[in-house]
Amino acid sequence: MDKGEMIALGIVALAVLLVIVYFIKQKGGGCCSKDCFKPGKPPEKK
Amino acid sequence: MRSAFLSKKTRKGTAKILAANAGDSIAIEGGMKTNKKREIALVGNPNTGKTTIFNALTGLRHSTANYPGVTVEKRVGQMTLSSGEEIAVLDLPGAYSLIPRSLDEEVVQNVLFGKQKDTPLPDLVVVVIDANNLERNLYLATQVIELGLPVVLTLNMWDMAKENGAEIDLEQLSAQLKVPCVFTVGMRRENIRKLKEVIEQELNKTVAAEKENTFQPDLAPEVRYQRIEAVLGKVLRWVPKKEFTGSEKLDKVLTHRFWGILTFLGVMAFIFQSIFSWAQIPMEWISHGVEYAAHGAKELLPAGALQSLVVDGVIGGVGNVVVFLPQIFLLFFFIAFFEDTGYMARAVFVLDRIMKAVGLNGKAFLPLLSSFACTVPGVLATRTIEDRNDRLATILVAPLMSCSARLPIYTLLIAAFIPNIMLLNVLSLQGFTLLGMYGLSIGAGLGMAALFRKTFLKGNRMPFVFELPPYRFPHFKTILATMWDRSKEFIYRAGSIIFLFSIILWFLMSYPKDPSVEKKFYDERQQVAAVFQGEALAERLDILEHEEKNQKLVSSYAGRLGKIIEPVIRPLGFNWEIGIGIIASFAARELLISTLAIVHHVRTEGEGSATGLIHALQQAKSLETGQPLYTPLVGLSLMIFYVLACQCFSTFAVVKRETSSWGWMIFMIAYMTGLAWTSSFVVYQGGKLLGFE
Repeated sequence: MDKGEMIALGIVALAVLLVIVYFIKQKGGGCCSKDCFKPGKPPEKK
Repeated sequence: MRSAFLSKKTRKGTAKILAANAGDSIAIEGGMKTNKKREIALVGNPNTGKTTIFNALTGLRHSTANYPGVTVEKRVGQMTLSSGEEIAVLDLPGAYSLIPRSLDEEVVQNVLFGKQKDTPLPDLVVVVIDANNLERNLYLATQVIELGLPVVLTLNMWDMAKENGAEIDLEQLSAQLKVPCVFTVGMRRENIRKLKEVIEQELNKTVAAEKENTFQPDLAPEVRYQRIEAVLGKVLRWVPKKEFTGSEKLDKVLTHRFWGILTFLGVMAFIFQSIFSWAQIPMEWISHGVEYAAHGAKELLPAGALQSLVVDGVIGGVGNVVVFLPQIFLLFFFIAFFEDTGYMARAVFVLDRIMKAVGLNGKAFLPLLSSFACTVPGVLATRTIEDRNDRLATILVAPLMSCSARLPIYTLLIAAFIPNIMLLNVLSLQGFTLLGMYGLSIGAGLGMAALFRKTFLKGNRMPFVFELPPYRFPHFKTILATMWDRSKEFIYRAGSIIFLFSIILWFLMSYPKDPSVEKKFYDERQQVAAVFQGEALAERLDILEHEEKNQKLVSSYAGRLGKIIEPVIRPLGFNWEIGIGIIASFAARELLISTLAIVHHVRTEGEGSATGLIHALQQAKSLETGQPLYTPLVGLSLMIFYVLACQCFSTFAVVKRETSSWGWMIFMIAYMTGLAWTSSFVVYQGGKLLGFE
């Protein structure tokens, strides 16, 4: 294995690591409770 | 001199936070300065243009639309005061009241009461009000004012209010509510400078009367509305507007049962036709840039694994995706253009009849429209739908809308396999095919929604009432900003996930190494070098290099994986090389293009990368049989598969979180995969039976 190939494989290893971090950190921004199905409404005038 | 600390100290229920902040605050002469960044919060009803004001204040760009519910998360930006001080700006979710009735309103209440764990009590609150609907908007505004926090009111959409005949006495409103009031037109950035000045003045007031928290959570809504009416009686006057406007005349055609749909189809056909014809030149420029980068990398790096990684993996993988950026820009330019002119709302009106027929709520239109950019915000936008079954049906069909990641796949395959001939001298066959892919995506979405609503997600359709905004002359700065907002996600993906996966794909397609193959080709190169010279030698070496890469690919990890799934996809006309791309697409759909570019060793020299890949697909032959790998029928089958298949991890994650259920997520993946496989099978096998290739 020459020096260039070692660098290439090092980059691949780094890419794998970053992909794992990317997916772990990805925010769904979602909400899991039943409240998610209740958006706000303007208070009604009686 | 007043400090944020002092102003906070007097408020009820915030002692714990203040104690934590107290040690941080350092007051100095000449204005309020602390080592803790000061924060202002933007609050307002949904659909008041709050996010547009946020963008204008911070310079950040976020997507905004004239429909409720776009702002569902807290966003933070930075604003620089004239003194040079940087302050944080919080864009809070839309809320109607400080008595929370939803998760969004709870967040707003928590922040303004100083109860939100990760957010300190803001130093100032900017309440954004829709000037067209003062009464309803002042409900929240008066509650916020009663909290005793420093408040600035901004009456947004001022131009529309004036057009509608509203005459508002700002000075009187300010005197009545005892807070500064500023008018703005967020979309046109009108009067934003004044708003910034007022914010700064309020933040830096050296002497300010401490206000008590007089908020009464138990105050009956009708009592609050009576108080608001009393204020409005002194500040608001309506001037009768003209009876019949040009807007209404145009609406008679654009919202007509027949002409409205015809116009909509015409507009869509124009957009897709333009995507093909107008994007051509900038795509060639990017292609040449990619080509130049590949050439430079080859010059710079010695031949070997590192050069192959950079040229074939990174530049080949990312470059072939980036080339499609002009088409993405164009698509979002047109969507923003039609939104800004007011046409999009008419399209909603026209399509609502169809949505009604399939049992979907009219509010599903925005989530479904957002899904054409990306499914993740589309699924999040379904929070505005009250009914559970309505919302679930919308979530389940949102991934069927063709997101921007699919566009490059369609255009690549169409350019490679659909002839560029004109239909009736109006629309090209390529543009028509692209229109067909989007039509299929909408048709499949509505069809599945109808099925769900008639079976396990039964329920009554909620009425959908919305106001058609007046037609406007488009504001190109806003259109370009919106286009950039929506397109930058594509660029971000190319620079992150596509980049990383291109590296990993290169590895999977290059390893493990087979020494016998390397030795065989080394010997052959030696033999060729002994016989040929000059151009003939270069040509032979080129052929050998290509053959060597092919043989290595077959025995690579990716090659083996592709071979494993080949029996499943073979009936659809797909080979194992496409199989690699399908697997890679679960990370990002665009990776199909990167995969095909790496698999077919697209040269990034000599011809543009897009042209090179198209050419490579047209010329690709099976290693085993020598038959063409891709035919127009395979191209069509592959496009249909990509229209209908659910292949995006981010979508899986957001559907799981929004439905709180693994079951719904698995159901979505299963039904979409089944639908995609069956449809491609029918098209490919049916096409073959009919004699197509």
